[in-house]
Amino acid sequence: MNHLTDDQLLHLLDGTIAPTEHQRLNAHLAACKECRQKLAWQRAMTRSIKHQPLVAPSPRFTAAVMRRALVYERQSAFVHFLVRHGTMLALIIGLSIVVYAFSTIPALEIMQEAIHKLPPEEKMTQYVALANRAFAQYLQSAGEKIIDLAGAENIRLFILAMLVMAALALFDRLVRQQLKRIRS
Amino acid sequence: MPNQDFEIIQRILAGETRAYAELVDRHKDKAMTLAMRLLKNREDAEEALQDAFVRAFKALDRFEMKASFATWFYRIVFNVCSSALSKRNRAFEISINENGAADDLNMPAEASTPEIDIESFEFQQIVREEIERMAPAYGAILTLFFIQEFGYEEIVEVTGLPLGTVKNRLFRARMMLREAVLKRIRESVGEWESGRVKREQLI
Repeated sequence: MNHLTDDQLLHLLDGTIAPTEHQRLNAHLAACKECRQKLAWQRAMTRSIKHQPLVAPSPRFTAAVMRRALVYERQSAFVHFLVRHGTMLALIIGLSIVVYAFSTIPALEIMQEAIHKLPPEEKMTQYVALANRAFAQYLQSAGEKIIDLAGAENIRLFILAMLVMAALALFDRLVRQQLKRIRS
Repeated sequence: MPNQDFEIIQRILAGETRAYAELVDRHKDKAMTLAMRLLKNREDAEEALQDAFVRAFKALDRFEMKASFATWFYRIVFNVCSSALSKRNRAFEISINENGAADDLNMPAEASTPEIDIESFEFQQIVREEIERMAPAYGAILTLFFIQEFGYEEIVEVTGLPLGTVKNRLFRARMMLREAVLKRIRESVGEWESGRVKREQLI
């Protein structure tokens, strides 16, 4: 029989050889000193490679990785919040727009009117009292506005706000579905 | 072992971010060894490994618990190191040319193996030095097979190479290493022999 090939030697060492082939090769090895020597060498090489010391990174390596990972986590917390709570956020933003639209404009008008009506000499001394009065007027006026909610203009604004909220919620859902698809 | 990885990952995903340090500690030495085999430079290897760990952290919520974390993570390490190597020069592409090292592998059948203690420290050191000198593509495959104890399929997954190429490259790597080590030992024995002859002549 010819000498064992390098491939056969490696398969013998790795235990990736058929049992019948194994017997045949072992029979040759028993009779061939040269092949035994080569096998012993290859075995020693394999053992040596397996037992080579690992290369450790510097002692502060883990701390450095964690620093970078935690910075990323803080940065991405806002993005994660947006992704996870997008629908809720869209609703809050929409409601805030509605509340703002119905409340701030009359309040500003009332405040400006009150300030214009003040006599110049009383401006400083009665500032707080006038502000309080303006606030009270605002409340009264706002109450009247709320009663007037059924007006055609307000209904249009309300429907528009609802449509914006629905569009935002739909957009949010689509983005999340798309993200899930990309990730999977 | 993999169960411990999964347990740590579950803790991280549940909000215990600092548990990632445990995962880093579990894998950093073996991963650093792989990075060193690829990049051949400590600073570059450490930087690449940091990048790989941070990337893995960012993508951890996409890791599927059915797979092995080690295989998934070493694919990231391999990709980061390959990119770094490609940026540095084109050595990586050159080194993985399959025809490049073929001529050096044919060891004559009658070549004798020199008499040396194969358990000795010197032998271990020669093997280590020769592994370090190997082309990145071969050194990395050896490391994945012997140090990570990955099978062929796992190496295919990590490197993205076809199965045939992985088997071929591993065979070549082992043969190249054997040749290089034998050459070094023959040289050492030759030097010692010539020194002995000179010493005898002097006496």
